[in-house]
Amino acid sequence: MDDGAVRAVLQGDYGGFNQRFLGISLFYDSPDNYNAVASYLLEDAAIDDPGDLHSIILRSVGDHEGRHYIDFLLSPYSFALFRLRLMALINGAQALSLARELPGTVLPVPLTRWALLDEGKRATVCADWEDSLGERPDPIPIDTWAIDELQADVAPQVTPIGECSKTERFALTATAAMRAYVRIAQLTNGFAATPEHPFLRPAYVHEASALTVQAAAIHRGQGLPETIEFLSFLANSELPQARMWQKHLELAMLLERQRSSSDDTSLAAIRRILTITVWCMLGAYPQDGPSACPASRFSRLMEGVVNDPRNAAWSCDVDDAQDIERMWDFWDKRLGSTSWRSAVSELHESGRRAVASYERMADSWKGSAALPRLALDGLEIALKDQGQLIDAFLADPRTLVVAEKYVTDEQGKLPQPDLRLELRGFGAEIDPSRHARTITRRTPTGEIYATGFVSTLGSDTPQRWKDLDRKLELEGRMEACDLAFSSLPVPSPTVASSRRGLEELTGKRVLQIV
Amino acid sequence: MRVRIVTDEYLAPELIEQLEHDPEIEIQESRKEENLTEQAFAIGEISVVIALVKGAAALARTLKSLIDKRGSLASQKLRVETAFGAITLEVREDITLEELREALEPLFAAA
Repeated sequence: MDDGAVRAVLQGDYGGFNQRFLGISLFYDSPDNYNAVASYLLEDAAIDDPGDLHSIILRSVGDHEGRHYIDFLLSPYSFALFRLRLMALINGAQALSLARELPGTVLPVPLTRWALLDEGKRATVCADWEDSLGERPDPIPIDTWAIDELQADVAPQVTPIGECSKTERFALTATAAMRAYVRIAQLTNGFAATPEHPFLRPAYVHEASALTVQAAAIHRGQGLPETIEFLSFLANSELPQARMWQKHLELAMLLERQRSSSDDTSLAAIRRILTITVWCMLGAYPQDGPSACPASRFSRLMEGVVNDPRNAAWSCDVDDAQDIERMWDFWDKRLGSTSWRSAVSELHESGRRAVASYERMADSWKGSAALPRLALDGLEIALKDQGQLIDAFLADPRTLVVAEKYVTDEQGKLPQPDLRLELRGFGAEIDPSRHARTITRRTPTGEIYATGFVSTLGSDTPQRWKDLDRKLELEGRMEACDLAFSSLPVPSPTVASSRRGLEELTGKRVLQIV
Repeated sequence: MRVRIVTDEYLAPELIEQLEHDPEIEIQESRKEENLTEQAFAIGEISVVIALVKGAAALARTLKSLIDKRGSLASQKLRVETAFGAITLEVREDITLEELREALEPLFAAA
């Protein structure tokens, strides 16, 4: 099946992990899909048990998304992105709360894009708005910036704002938010993609990891024919995430050949993929900067192995924890990277230092400290799971790099992400007895119906539910801030409410740059 | 009004063809972008079309023609953005012209 034919039978997307919500989301496009997964999870799938690719993916996407959450916690690069998001939120929300005091009647969004437009381009955008509005728009004053100015490293600083005017405070905090969003875009894009290899991006290293885990979950839960169907799709697809998985398999086969005399190494090599993805994600971003990009590390590793094909030190016994660690030490040494052990220990330590710094900031905050407290809670919740994960990983790296072990290990060893089920294009009745937070909407006639459920997995303590509520609150605030400052897509149902919220907060008309 | 339409790379050629047929729509730009936000087995790249559109009715008419031509678009989504908002249309085969127009109208309303 080519990709066009695959697209015709597959759902547009099956799930997602987005740092805005510290959990995972699964999407259902029809009641049939939702019911099929429910019956599978209840081990009652015999009545309707098709082995087509759509059903195979539908039943295993939770394992895929769960791995994204784990990899996010483990990777210093990903966690740096999360901390940038928190800084963007704190500064961005403060700026927006001051926008009411500024002259002008229009809040042009995304503000970062507006800041990067020169006067001529701003005039063109305004002319387009004028055509639609029937009156000349009057945007709030924002300096014009060049992209390299916003990307430039700025030494950490505390600027006393007590004596600044509100306009100056707006400029300071808005610029800090824009710098964070520009950096987020840069890190998301990564530093390794080329026109020949556009899929060499950090997100696709994460995809290679999650797809490998998904294959193992399919093998465990569904069977060998389904696993072959899924692997065949991955091996033959031109989709970028599949292309990146194929590149990982290529490298894994080189490593496998260093230890095996067999002609066909592909199946054995699949077991090596997670040793590659985990190391790629363990770049020490604070120390190594852009070279800690997971895709850059993958490229350097591939080059190192290709240029030194007879050196068995590049490879390891995947079932031997000490040999995996020895191999990673060798990779670090040969490729000139900060040691993976230092990266992991510094990751958690720097998070703890950030908590202390956020606490000081919240204590000295002028006005309501609700937002810095929310960011602080989000960071602490993530660090709690991260601490548990790092302990398990350092005790035995096979916990994360041997896929069949990862999908069969007992629950509770690794953090369990909260789970959101999103119903798309259909709704369900509200069920008060359901142990979940219900996402609701209203019909045009005012009836309320459910479009999703969010619940905790694993532990079911009051604290866990309190944490979940804070996560959902953080997500809502991040969506509004993203809408105001960035080109990051915001879910359609929340665009309208976020826009209304921004208009109420700022007293300005929100107009989108198209 | 300037409109940004985001869809998957497979649907884009037919969308562009339909848009080109409508005298009340003028395509200004089309390009491919990477979709890095969510796992999307069927969507590797996204296509972005920027067009000048005279109103919700014109765009609804074009999208309805596209749906009628393509039949089932069960796995398809279209994101439409204007100065006044954004909406993701979960496209169903049986969606009516009136439903499409109602969904798009807030994106064209200045008030």
